[in-house]
Amino acid sequence: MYILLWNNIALRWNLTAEHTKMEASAFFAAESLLATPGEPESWEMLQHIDGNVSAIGLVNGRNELNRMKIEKLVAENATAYETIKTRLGMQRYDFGMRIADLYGNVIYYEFGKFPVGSFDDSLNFNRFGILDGEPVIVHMEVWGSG
Amino acid sequence: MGKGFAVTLDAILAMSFFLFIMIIIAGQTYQPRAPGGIYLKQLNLDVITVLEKTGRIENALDGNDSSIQEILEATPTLACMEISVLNDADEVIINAIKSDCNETTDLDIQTSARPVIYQDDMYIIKSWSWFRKEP
Repeated sequence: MYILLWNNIALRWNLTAEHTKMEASAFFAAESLLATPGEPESWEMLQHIDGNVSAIGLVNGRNELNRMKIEKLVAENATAYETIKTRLGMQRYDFGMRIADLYGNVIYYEFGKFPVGSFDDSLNFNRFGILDGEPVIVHMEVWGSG
Repeated sequence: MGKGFAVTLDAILAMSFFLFIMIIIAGQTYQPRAPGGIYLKQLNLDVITVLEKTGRIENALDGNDSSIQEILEATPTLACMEISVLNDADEVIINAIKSDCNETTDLDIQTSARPVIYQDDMYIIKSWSWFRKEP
C-alpha cells in the first residue's frame, strides 16, 4: 500500500515539475518574442530562418511589434517551425501564437500549431503587443509533455 | 526474548504510522497551480508599456479614462489589475480597476511605479496586480 501511495505521489510531483518547466520555457519564449528584436537584429531580412539566426524576437522596442518580422515568422511556419521552436528554447514542446485585436474578434496573424481538442498538459496565456500604434493581444498556447 | 519481539513490533507499527503520515503530508506539498508570479510581472509591464506607448495615459490625463479601462478589461480572466496616476503633489488624479476585482484579502499583490512626463509635468503611474481569488 505504501509503495502504491508513494508511486502516486511521485507521479504527481513529476507532472507538476514538468508543467513548471513548460511554464518557464513558455514565459521565456514570450518575453523573447515581445521584448527583443532577435539576433541578428534584422533576421527577417535573411532568406530563411536557419543556423544564422541565434534568437528570435518580433519587436523594435518593448511590445512594439514589427510587421516584417511577424510576416517572416508566419512565412517560415511550414519549413522552419522546429528551428524557430529551438531558437525560442521550446524544442521540447509545441506552440501556437495568435495576434488578435483586444476583443479577439479580428485575427491578424497566426503561427505554429494549436492543439486539436482538449489537451491535459497545456498552457494558454495572453500578452499585450502594439501593432501599428494600436494595442493587440498576443495569445500563446504551449503544449506537449516533451 | 518475547519482550524484545514485542518492542520490535511496536517500533515497526510506530514507524509505519509515521511513514503513512509523512507520505500524506508529502502528497499535499505540491498542488497544481496557476501561472506564477513571473507571468504576472510580464503582464503588468505589458499593460504599463502599452498604455504609455499608445498614448492612453495622455488620453486619460486629457479626461478619457476609458482608454485605460479598456486595456485592463482585456487582461486574462484570472488576472486583476489597478492603475493609478499621481501628480507631483502625490495626489491620485486617475484611478482605474478591472471589473470584479475588488476582493484582495489574503492575496499576493505585486506593485510597480514608473514616472512619465506629459506637457512638462511629471506624473507617477502606479500599478497593483494580482491573481483573482478562485471561487
